[in-house]
Amino acid sequence: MRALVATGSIATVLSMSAAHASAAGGKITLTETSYYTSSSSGPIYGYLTTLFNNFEKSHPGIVIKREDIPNSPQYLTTVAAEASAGSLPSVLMLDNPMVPTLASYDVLTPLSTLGPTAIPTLGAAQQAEAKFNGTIYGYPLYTNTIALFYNKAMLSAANIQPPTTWAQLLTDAKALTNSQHYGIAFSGENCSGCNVWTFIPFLLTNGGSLTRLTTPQSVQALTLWADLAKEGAIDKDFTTWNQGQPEAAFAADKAAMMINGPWFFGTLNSVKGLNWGVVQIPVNTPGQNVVGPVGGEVWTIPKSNPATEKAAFELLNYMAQPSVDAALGTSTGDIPTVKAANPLWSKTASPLYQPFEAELAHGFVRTSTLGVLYPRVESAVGNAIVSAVIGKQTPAAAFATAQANVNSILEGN
Amino acid sequence: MSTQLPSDEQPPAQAMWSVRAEVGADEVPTSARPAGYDGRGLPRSDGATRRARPIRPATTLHWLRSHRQHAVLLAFVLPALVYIIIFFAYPLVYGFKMSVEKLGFIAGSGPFVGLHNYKVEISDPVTRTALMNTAIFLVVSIIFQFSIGLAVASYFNRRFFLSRFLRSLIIVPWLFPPIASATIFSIMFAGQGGIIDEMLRSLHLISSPIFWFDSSFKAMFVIILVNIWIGIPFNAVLLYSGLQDIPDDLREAAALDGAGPWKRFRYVTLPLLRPVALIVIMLGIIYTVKTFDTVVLLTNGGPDNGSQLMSTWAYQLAFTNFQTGQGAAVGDMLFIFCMIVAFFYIRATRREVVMA
Repeated sequence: MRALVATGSIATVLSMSAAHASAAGGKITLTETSYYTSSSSGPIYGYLTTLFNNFEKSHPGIVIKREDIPNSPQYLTTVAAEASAGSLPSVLMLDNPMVPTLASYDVLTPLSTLGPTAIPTLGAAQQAEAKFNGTIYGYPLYTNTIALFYNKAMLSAANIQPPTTWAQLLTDAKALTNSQHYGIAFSGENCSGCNVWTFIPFLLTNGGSLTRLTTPQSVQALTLWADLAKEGAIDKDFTTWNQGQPEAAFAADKAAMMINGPWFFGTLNSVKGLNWGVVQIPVNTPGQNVVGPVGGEVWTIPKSNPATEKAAFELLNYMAQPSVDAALGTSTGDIPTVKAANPLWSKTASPLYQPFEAELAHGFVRTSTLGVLYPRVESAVGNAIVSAVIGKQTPAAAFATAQANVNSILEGN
Repeated sequence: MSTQLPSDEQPPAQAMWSVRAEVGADEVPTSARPAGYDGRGLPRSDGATRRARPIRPATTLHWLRSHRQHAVLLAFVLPALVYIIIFFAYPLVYGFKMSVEKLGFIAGSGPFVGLHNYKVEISDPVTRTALMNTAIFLVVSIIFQFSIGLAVASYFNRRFFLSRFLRSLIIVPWLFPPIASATIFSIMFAGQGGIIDEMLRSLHLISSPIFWFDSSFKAMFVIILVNIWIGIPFNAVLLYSGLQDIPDDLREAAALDGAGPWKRFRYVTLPLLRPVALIVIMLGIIYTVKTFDTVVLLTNGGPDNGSQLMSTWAYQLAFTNFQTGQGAAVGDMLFIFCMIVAFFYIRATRREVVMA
């Protein structure tokens, strides 16, 4: 790793001396855009400030200017506008499903053209996630997924162990539903990173697929969700919920269990009197390995000029050092993806990350086969999920409709 | 026509204009032309004195001199024209250009695909649902906004204790940012602990909670209700000012002639209110058709596109599915939809406007 950074540095120094000839002042300014803002992002915003300051100290020729945008639909519309105007920042952070879309417009620098990348130091899922059509476009430096949170007090009051199978999940969720709280809460809205993201562990663990929805395995997964809704074990408003509302319900003792991610650890720990645990998402048949959707952001380098790209590459390699990546994991609440960073990170990380790591061992990169089509497939499947859980269509009929839509998308319509 | 008239007998419009001409402009604007003016041989209100003026910049082009009146007319129209071209025509044309191209996430420019995007979207059942929902949303919203607004306006048309204070309070929903009101409504309509369900339950109208967002009928009901709530003050305030303009003596005269309250309202107030009412309805249609934020926050077009409107569908295509060309096509279809509505509306009301 260190050798890689050193190689990168030499390349950067060389290219910077070339830039000196043309650039006045002799300093390269890197503009950086992420959705970590001072008001909304917790420790990561402050840590990035420290990281960038340290980087500037060790790289006197480079100045970093932050141009962060809050995480909202605005983020992507701004990126799209900047991309079409050719004014993307020098370093751009993207949610991982967006990388193929940007890469397909040829606005991202293929990183291996800038020197040896740190990709071989990352986990297997991240090596796949970084690539589009075989080319490396970014560094996925930390990851996350979802698991089953449970309220210890409510479960022990009902004398229930955290469920490990779908049958138990359904029975337990029903048993844990009363006038005060529902058995379970999770996101059911059809939006980007909402219901399909939450549904993936059920679908894929059971051998289903986003592109083969009419198989019994796929329909079984949707039937479980429809049953949870039909039995009243989940607040039926969940079809309007993204990831935030389930957390609010769980934190307010209005749900005994929830499916959500580790990014809420901090918030949940600050709720007084809430005693909670995390287990892997239940499986249909014991012995199935839970497939977690691979979450996390990817750091990319939009195309600009060779000197800036080299400097940006230098920054990315700096961030991919094990010690820096471990701190990135800690401050985002995610799991660092540089293999050598994991031991450093797990020294201080909560043992509650263990179920997430186990699911990520069989992680599913959403764009791995669907690429740029993922957002549209997600939307088609998301509609079917809503249709089934509100009882508008049977799970089989809803997925038959969605399959026709997915086929049409895959055929290029 | 007026060429024979001595200059002191100019038609009033021109006389008025000649006063303004002193300020700097030197020709008659369109609106001040006498009827039948053919664009040539316009009389000069200031006749010979104009020639005596020492100031004519030597640089004035010959064209400008011979077409002076056109140039000046153009100068008056130009600012409005530039404004319309930049802020209306250009986006409209650009939107159309996008709708006939294959565009994805980055909407710079793409290959020309003709009417392909329109064909795809017209055959898409979601677009048809969205079109139908938009029509229902529009008609129901306007009927209730207007009638409740009129009732509120009539109520406040009389003076009573605190009427001014209450009248100013009634505008609050209109002043509220849609994001705030939609968020409050989504909390109120929650199935678990939402105040609407709690209220209905305490009144023993329902026994189990109603989940307002699990069917398209209920979801449409909620977004229409919220839109009506937002629109009432706007209707009420404008109709109130319309009512204030109707002289009381007309109603008194009708009362003396033996007309009861309903007949006075029906045959005196309503006809006199017509011009204001027509404008209120037209503005209501415009505001309702472009409703977007409240719907996105309350239902996001769900469940399963059950409350999808043309506006939210266009947004979802362009910014969630990254099918920007098709999103633009749906946006243009919404525009055409508005034009059709406006056409029939203007046709249906033209006679009344003239009469009023």
